[in-house]
Amino acid sequence: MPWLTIAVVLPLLGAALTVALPSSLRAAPQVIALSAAALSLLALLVTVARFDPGAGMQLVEEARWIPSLDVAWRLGVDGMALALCLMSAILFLAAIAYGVGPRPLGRTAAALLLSLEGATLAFFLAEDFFLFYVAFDLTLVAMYFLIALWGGERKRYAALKFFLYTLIGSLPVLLGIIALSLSADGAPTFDMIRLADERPIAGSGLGASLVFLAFFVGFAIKTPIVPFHTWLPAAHVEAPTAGSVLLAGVLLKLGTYGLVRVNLQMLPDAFATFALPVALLGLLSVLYGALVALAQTDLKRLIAYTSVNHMGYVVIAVAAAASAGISPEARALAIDGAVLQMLAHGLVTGALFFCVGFIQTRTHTRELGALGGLMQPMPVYGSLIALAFFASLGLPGLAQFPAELQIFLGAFEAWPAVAAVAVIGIVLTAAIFLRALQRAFLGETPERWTGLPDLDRRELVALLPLLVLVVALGVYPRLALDLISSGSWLP
Amino acid sequence: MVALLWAVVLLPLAAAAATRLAGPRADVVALAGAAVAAIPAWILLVAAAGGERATWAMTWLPAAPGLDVGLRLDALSVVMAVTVASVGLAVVAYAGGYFANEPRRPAALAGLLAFLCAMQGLVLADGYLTLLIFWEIVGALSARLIAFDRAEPDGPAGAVRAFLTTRAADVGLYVALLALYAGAGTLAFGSERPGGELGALVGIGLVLAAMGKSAQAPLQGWLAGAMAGPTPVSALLHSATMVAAGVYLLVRSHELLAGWPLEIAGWVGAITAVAGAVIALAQQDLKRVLAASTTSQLGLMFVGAAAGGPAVAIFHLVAHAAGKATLFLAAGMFQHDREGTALERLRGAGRDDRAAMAIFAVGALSIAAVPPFAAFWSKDAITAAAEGHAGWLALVLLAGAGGAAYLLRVARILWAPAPHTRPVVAGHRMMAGAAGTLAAASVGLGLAGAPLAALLSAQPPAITVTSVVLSLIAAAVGAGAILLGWRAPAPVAAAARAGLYADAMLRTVVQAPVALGARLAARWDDRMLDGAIVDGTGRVTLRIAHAQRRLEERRIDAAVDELARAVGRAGAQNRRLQTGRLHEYLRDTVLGTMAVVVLIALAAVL
Repeated sequence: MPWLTIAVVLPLLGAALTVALPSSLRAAPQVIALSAAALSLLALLVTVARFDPGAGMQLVEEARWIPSLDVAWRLGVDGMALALCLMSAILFLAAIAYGVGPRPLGRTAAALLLSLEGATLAFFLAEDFFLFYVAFDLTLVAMYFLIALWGGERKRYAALKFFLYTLIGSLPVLLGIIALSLSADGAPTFDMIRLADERPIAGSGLGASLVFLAFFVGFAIKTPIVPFHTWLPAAHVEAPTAGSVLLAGVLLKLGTYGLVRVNLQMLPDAFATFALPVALLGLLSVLYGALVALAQTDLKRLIAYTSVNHMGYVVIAVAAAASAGISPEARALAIDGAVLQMLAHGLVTGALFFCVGFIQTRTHTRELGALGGLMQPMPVYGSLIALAFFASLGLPGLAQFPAELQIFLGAFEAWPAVAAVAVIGIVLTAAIFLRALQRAFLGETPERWTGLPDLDRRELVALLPLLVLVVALGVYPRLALDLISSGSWLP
Repeated sequence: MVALLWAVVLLPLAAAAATRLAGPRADVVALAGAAVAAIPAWILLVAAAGGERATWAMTWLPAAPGLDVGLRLDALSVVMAVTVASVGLAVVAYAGGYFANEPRRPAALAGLLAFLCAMQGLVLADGYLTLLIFWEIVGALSARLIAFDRAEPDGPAGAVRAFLTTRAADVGLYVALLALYAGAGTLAFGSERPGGELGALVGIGLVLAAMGKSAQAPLQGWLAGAMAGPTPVSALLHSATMVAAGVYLLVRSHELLAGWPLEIAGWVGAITAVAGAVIALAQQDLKRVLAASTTSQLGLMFVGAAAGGPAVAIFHLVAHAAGKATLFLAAGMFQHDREGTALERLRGAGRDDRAAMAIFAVGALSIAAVPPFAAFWSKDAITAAAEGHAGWLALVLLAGAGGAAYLLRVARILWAPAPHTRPVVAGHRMMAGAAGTLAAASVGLGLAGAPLAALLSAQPPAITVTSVVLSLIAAAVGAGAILLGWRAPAPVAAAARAGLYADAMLRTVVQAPVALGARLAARWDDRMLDGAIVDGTGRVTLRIAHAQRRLEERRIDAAVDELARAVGRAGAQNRRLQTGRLHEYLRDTVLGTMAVVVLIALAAVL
C-alpha cells in the first residue's frame, strides 16, 4: 500500500468532498475533516511501523508524471520528514477539533484546513522538486484565505503582507530549483533523492553561491530569520486561533526543513562557506527575537516573537552542521537537536497560541496590562499555560530542553562563542514568560475577571494532547530522537 | 540498590500525587508519604556505610556518546539524600499544621513533596547532564512555591526574581557543560578539567552557577525576595536543601575545580559570609534576618569546600540544614501567633509561645556556633581549615562574630517584655512537634563529623585549639556588641538595610540595560524595519507602478490601443474565471504555477 500517498491524498480528498456536499448537511464538514485528518495520521503511524530508522531515505513511492523533465509523484521519508509529518498531523487534528470560524466547522473552513494539511504533508514527503514547490506555494494560498476570511481587525493587511512577503520568498526558491534541476548530469531531473546523492552543484563558486542564496532567502523568509521576520507578528496576531497554531506550529518548519533538505543536503560546499554568516543571523534571531518579545504587551505578539527566538536556534544548528571540519557526532547532535526543536516548538507554540485564543474568547483582550490574576478563576487553565510557558523557556523535563541542549552541544564544537552567547537566550525567554505569567495570571484578580469559566471540553481536547507530548518528549526525548536519527541520512 | 535509588526519587512524587487528591486529610497522607519516602534513603545510607556503591544509566541523547542520564549511590550522594529526606519529612509534618487553615493545603503539601522528588534527583544524579536537569527543575519548583500566595504581590515578584537570578547564573552551568563535553568528551563526574580556555569556561561557569543557587554575593538578593513564600517553603528550599545545592556542586566537582576556581569560590564565600552577617544585622523582618544568615552560612561552606575539602563543607551543610530549618520552623510558629514576621510585631512573642522560643533558642545556639551544639563543631572545622589562609580566616571570624550578634539581637526582641497577646493557633501542636524533633537533631549532629568524614573517605574535620579559641572570642565579641548596644555608623546601617546595594547594582548593570535594549529593539522593529523598510518598499513599489501606468496611458498610440482592445477582449472572457469560488481559485493557482514552471523549464532546456 502506498501509505505516504494515502496520508497526503486523504486530506485533499476530504477537502474536495466537503466542497462537493450540499451545504444543508451542517455537521458534515466537521465530521469529514476530523476523519480525514485522523486517517491521515493513522497512515503516518503505519509508516512509523514500517520505518527503519537506520536506513535513511526510504519507502519511496513513485509515479511517472512528466517523464521528459523527470518530474514524478515521488514521496519518501527519512527521520526528519516522518517526525515533522507526525507533528503536523497531530497539530492539524487539534486545530480541526478546535475549529475556525463559526461552529460547527463550515465547508470553506474545513476545505481550507484539509488542503493546508495535504499541502503540508506533501511538502515534507516530497522527493520531487516540482511537487515540493507546488506544495510550498499551496500552503501559502490556504493560509492566506484562513487569515483573510477569519482574521482579526487588520486581517486584509496581515493576509496580504503574509502572502506577498512569502511569495517573494518563493520566487528565488523556484529559480534555485530550476538551476539545480538543469545542472544534473545528463538529462535534467527534479528527483530530489538523486540531487541529494549526486550534488550536481559542487564547490562554492559564484554559481553555487547564487543558487545557495536563492534557496536561503526563500527559506529565511519562511522560517523567519531576522531581518526577514516582520510579516510574522502581523500574520500571527491577526490570524484566527487555529490559524496561528498552524502557522507557528507547522508552516514555519517549512523554512528550516528546506534549509536542511536543500541547502545542507544538496549544496553542502556552498553552505560551508556561508555557515558562519548564517549562524550569526541565527544568533541575531535568538537575541533580537527575545529582546523584542520582552518589550511586547500583547500576549499574542509576545508569543509570535518568541518563535523568532526559537527558530533562531534551529538556524544555528543547521549552520553548525554545515560548517567545515565539524565532527560527525557534533553534526548529528546539531541536526537531531534542530529537528527535535522543530517538533518541540510546533507542539509548545501550538499550545501557547491555543491558550491565547482561549483567553481572548473570554476577555476579548490580549493586553497584559488589562489581564491579571487569571489563575484565581481559571486554575486548570493557569496551570496548563504555566506548563506551556516553562516548556517554551526550555525547562528540563519538557520538550525544548533536550532540543536546545543538543543544539548548544553541536554548535559549540563549530563556534564556541556563538553557542555560549546563544545560551543567554534562555535567560531572556525566562524573563519574557515569567513577566507575562506574573502580569496576566498572578496577583490580584480584577473584579471583571472573577467569574471567568475555566476550560471546557473542546478546549481541553485541543490542548491536552499537545502538552502530554511536550512532557513525554521532555522526559524521554528518544521517543523522537530514535526516529529522527539524523546520523543515518546526513551526507 | 538501583531500585532503592529510584524509590528515593519517585516515592515523593507518588506521595505528591496522592496528597493532591487527598482533600481534607492531605496532612496525614503527606506525612505518611514523606515518611515512607525517607526509608529508602536511610537504607541506602546504611548500605553505603558498608561500602555499597551503585550506578544506573541510560542513553538519553543517542546522537553522540557520553550523553547519558543516571543515578548514583556513593557516600556524598547518600549523605545529601538522607539530609533532604529527613529535613523534608520534618518540614512536611510541620506544614500539615502550618497550612491548617489554608484552603489550598493539598496543593501546598503536594508542592513540597514534588520538590523533594526533584531535589533527590539533583543529589543522586550521576553526571552533569542529569544534575543540570534537576538543577533547573528545582529552580522552577522553587519559583512556583514562592508564588504560592498568588494574590499577594510580593510572592509572584519574589518568585520571578528568584528564578531569573538563578537562571542567569545557570548560564554558567550550561556553558561549563558545553566546554567540558568539548574538552573531555564526557559529562561524567570526576573527570579532569580540560586545559586552556575550555578549562577556564568550566571553572568560571560552575562557580557562577553555584553562586547563583547558593545566593552568594553579589547575587544574594533573590533569597530575601524568596522569603515572601510560605515559611515551610523557606525552611526546606531556601535554607536547608535547595540553596545548599551550590555547595554540593562545588564538592561534587572538586577535582574539576581544583586550583584557581576553588580559590575564587573561597573568596566569594568568605566575602558573602561577612556581607550576609552585616545585612542580617540590619533587617527588620525575622525571615529576612534568617535569609541573610543563610547566605552567610553558605558562604562559610564555600570556604570550607575551598580550604578544607568535602568533609568540612558537607559537615557544615548538614548541621546548618538542621539548625536553620529549626529556626525557620520556629519563625513560622511566631508568624502564626502574631500574624506576621516583622520584628516589631514579634516583640515579646517568645514569652507568649515558650515552645517556639525554646526551639528557636536551640537553632540559634547552633547557628551562632555555641558549643556543644552541632554547627559549633562544623563551623569550627571551617575555621581550622582556613587557618592557612589569613584573608579567609579573618573574614570567617568576622562572620562568626556577626552570627552571634544578629541571632542574639533577634532573640532579645523575641524575649522582650511585652503585653500578653497569645491567640490559639490551629495546627500549633503539629508544628511544635516537628520543629522540636529537628531542634533535637541540631544538638546531636555535632557528633556526626568523624563518621561523616569516614564515609566520605576524607580527612576528619580537624579542630585545633587555636580555632576554638578564636571562634569563641569572635562569638563573644559579637554577642558583647549587641549587649552593649553598639550601633553601626548611619551610612553602614543604611547600606546594610539595602542589602549592601547589590540589588541596585544588578538593576543598573543588568536589568535596566536589557529593558532599554528590549524597548529600543521593539521600536526599531515596529517603526523602522517593518514600518519604514518593509511596508515602505511596498508603498514605493505601488507608487512606481501607478506612475508607470500614467506614463503609459499618455503614450498610447494606435497599435498599442488596438493591442489593448484585444487584451481587453481576452480579459472580458477571462472575467468568467473570477467566480468568487475559493476552490476554483485554488485550482487555478496550482495550474498556473505548474504552467509557469513548465514554461520556464522548457525554455531553459531548449
